[in-house]
Amino acid sequence: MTHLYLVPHWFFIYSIIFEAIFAIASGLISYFSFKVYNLSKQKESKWFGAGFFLISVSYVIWLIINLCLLRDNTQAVGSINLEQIVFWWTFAIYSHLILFVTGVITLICSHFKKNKLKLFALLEVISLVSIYLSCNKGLSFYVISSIFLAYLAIIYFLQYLKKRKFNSFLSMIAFILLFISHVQFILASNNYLYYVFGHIVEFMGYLLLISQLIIILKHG
Amino acid sequence: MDKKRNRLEIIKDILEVIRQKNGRIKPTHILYKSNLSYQMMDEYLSELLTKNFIKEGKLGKGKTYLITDKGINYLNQYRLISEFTESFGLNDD
Repeated sequence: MTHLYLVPHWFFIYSIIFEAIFAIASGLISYFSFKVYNLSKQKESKWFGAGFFLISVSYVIWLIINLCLLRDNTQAVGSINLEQIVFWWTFAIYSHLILFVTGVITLICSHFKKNKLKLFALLEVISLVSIYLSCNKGLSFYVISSIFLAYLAIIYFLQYLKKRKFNSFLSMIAFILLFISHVQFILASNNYLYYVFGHIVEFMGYLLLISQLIIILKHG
Repeated sequence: MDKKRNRLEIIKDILEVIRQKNGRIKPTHILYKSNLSYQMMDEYLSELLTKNFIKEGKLGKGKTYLITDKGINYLNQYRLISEFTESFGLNDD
């Protein structure tokens, strides 16, 4: 049996709210990134915006999945079991997984000046084939996305070492928190508390990203 | 020693030079003011033409470059562009 995660009943409504916040936060970052692209025609901004757009859509799907599948759940701890749900929900869940991974890969590619498309294709194929062939797709999804988020955190860490600026530091901490949250989601298939902690840590990560956006808009 | 400029800064500097000359400038003036080699200046001017930040014009026999509304908009919003790309590490060359 493949559990994506276990959800405590008392946390159900909070998880919906968190996922809505994540969708809005990543959507806002995407919006401003595309705005910067329209002004500067800088490709990196376009890729960055596309990445966060895909992530935002994946959160919307995740929110809808949780809302519909767990709405009538009366157990103390609910679960999403990939083998038991019907086709459309399977499609929705896989859409969430694919969109999120694709979004994070797009973010990684936005930091490369050359060979973006080649890198994107390589990472996309490796990730999706790994998830598809895995016996535990939920676990492989969270492991792969954790690795990519860790890589992004390292990119921002190296940028902070180079520039020593507060905004680079904030980005680094934000992506470290997103990485930690996904590690906790790996563990959430066995213990529902990790699902709770994962949401809280992820919220902190997005809070930092939105704070940066607010600072940028104030100065810009 | 001056900090090395990134691509967005150089574009800003070129557009600023054109704006300071009432929106129209000869290529040689850009070369003097922008602190770039001829090859680099040529590369950037091609990029600016492609992005429609500037357009070519004629003044007598010589070629000139004029800043467009998009170019002016870029200058006006440069702070936002710069802060955003720097915060999210998108301006590394």
